[in-house]
Amino acid sequence: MNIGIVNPSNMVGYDKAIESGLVDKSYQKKMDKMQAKAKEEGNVGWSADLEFNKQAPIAAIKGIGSKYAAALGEMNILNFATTRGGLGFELLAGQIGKEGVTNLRNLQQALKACMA
Amino acid sequence: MHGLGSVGKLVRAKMPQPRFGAGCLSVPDTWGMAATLEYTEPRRVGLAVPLAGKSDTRLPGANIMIVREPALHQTARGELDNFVSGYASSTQAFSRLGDGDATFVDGSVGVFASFAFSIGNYRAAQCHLFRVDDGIATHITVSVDENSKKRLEKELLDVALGFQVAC
Repeated sequence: MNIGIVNPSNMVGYDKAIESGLVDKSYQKKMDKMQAKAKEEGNVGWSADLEFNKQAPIAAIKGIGSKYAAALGEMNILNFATTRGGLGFELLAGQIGKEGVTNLRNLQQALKACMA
Repeated sequence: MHGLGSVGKLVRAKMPQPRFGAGCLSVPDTWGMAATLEYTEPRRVGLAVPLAGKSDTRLPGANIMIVREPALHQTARGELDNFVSGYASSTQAFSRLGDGDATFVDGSVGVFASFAFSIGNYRAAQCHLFRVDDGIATHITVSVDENSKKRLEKELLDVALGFQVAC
């Protein structure tokens, strides 16, 4: 098991991801639709989040290595939906390994340094 | 390549040093462990250009991340090479800005390498410093937007070299 003690404020939010051009517009529409539906049903909890995660396609995130693109998108989604960034890292550790998490952390820092 | 080789000439900035203990937790020996510390510069205000009708612009701030964890290699160079080989392939339009040895304020010698690369619609520049002390690797990442890459060598690398194992 991997425990990630991550402050959610460290994460790049979904809005920022859209602003940066990381999220493809068609995917954004899909996300917005799903979010609206979840709100309508009074459900912004885990079932909706996991649904988002399942549907994070690599092609939806542009401009960075495909290996991490989906993972970065997934973290954004987790942050957007739940602000539970720690769990995001925990999930990621199982998917892309320790090296992947290291690279992803560094990519996140780079992204944060570019966003005013 | 020693694109940032003028590190020793830099004037160390005088600033208060926030101190955080990493804390500890009792877990089985088989668990992995890493400590992460982040420093984030506030957003900066860019120059206004009145003739162009542009008011002050907000510029992104730099950030410095420090990660300490058990070393995979005996030397800082081994840690750096291991990191770079994986990182280069995970970024796009990756270009090397410089590398070399670096002496920390406490006398420990490490290595650094700096790069520029694309991320999303942006271009970022990072300097990665490594040192190994008693089997613990310290990886310091300094990140800026590429337009500010000169800050890496003129001020931020020097700040990073102020890292000490025990403050």
